[in-house]
Amino acid sequence: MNKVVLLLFLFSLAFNSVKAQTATKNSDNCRLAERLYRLEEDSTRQGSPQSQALLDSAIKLCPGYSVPYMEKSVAFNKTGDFFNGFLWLNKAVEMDPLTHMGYRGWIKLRKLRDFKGAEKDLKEFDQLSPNDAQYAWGEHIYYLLGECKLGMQDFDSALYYYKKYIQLAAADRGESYIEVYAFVYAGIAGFQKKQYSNASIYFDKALNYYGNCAEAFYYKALILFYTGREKEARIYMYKAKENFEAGYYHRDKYNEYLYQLYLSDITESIRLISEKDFR
Amino acid sequence: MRLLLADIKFIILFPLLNTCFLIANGQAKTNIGSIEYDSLKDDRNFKICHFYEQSLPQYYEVGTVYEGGLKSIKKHFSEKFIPDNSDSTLNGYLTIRFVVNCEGQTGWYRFLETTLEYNYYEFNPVFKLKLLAITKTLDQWKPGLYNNKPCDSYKFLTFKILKGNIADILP
Repeated sequence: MNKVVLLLFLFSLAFNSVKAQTATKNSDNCRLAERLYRLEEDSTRQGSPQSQALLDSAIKLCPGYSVPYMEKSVAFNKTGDFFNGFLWLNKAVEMDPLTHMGYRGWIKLRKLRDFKGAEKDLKEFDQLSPNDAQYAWGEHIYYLLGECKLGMQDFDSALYYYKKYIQLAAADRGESYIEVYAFVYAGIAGFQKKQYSNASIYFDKALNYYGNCAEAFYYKALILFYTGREKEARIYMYKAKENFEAGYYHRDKYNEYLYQLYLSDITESIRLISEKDFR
Repeated sequence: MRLLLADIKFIILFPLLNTCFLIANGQAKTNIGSIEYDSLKDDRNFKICHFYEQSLPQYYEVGTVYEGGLKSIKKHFSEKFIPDNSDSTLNGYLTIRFVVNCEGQTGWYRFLETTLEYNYYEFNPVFKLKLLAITKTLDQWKPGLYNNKPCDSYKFLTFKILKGNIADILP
């Protein structure tokens, strides 16, 4: 509460200066714009008139400050208005590529399955600062590039990026800190290439670090089934079902994932395995 | 308690926000993505169940889903959508935004469209109506929950169109 009152006071002081114009420097306007952005983030509903007014004001006060442009894009993209979303996001990227290019790649990948567009942005983002480990919206870009390639059905390149990410992450913080779905997706890339023994190693790794992973059980079961080990396949497929029903699968409230697993995939596979058993 | 604090915060912020409306020339009057009932194009029999002071919630805020997920929606479209050679020049993203009410019925449909590079684009109206007609036949919506009670919400489907075919359905 004190923070809000203080902000109100600071804003009143600063806005009087804005009105007076002559005495106000650009840097003061930009500091104020930053405060308005923080206020928008903390106190308003995304996309509401209040939120838009604060962001529009921040942009008017400091047109070179890229963050409110990016923030304006979010509500549009979340509501499916990608024309307006990218209008604002592209401006933010133009102004400050290092801050926003990775996010744009992430949006293209996760929200639009624009694998080529995402790959282009993520690679450019990587080149902007080649010596640093790059994360786009909290996810390592090699992990995301692996997903781009998997989406393009370029399974060799997908495996290349997942391996690269796994190696870097393991060297950096240890294998237990690796995003477990890197193992799952690397396994899926191998599975698609019918390299079942390699793929199986990845699914085992996933289960080693996330013992309830429904996807790892599911694909492991399919591999066992395709390699003639129906009884084990059946056990693994039921484990996939049990863990799926308990909620241990990859999901997101905004969108579905690449290779999203459904309960119907598992039940259909159980039926398939059972039919083979009876023959 | 949380709501009360938010209300107090808003009362304090109100003069500041008004000032911001002045700086921003009072541009925004509604929430981004809001759909207002339009008697000329909307079904008068479709009703939302509750009154919302600010805006209807978004699907991701209350968990509005389709039975069987996108897999089921894709199957529905693959069975009903028939590509037409005359549409082979159409490429882009076509979003159909709508309301799912507390009973799982849908209405207030709106189009949003871009090129594949996210620039301005308008699909041919016949093509749009063809996709809309199929969207309207999706009848397994599960309304979102607010305070454990079914509620109304906004939802959208985005169709990635390549040469007049549905290449993908999002989100």
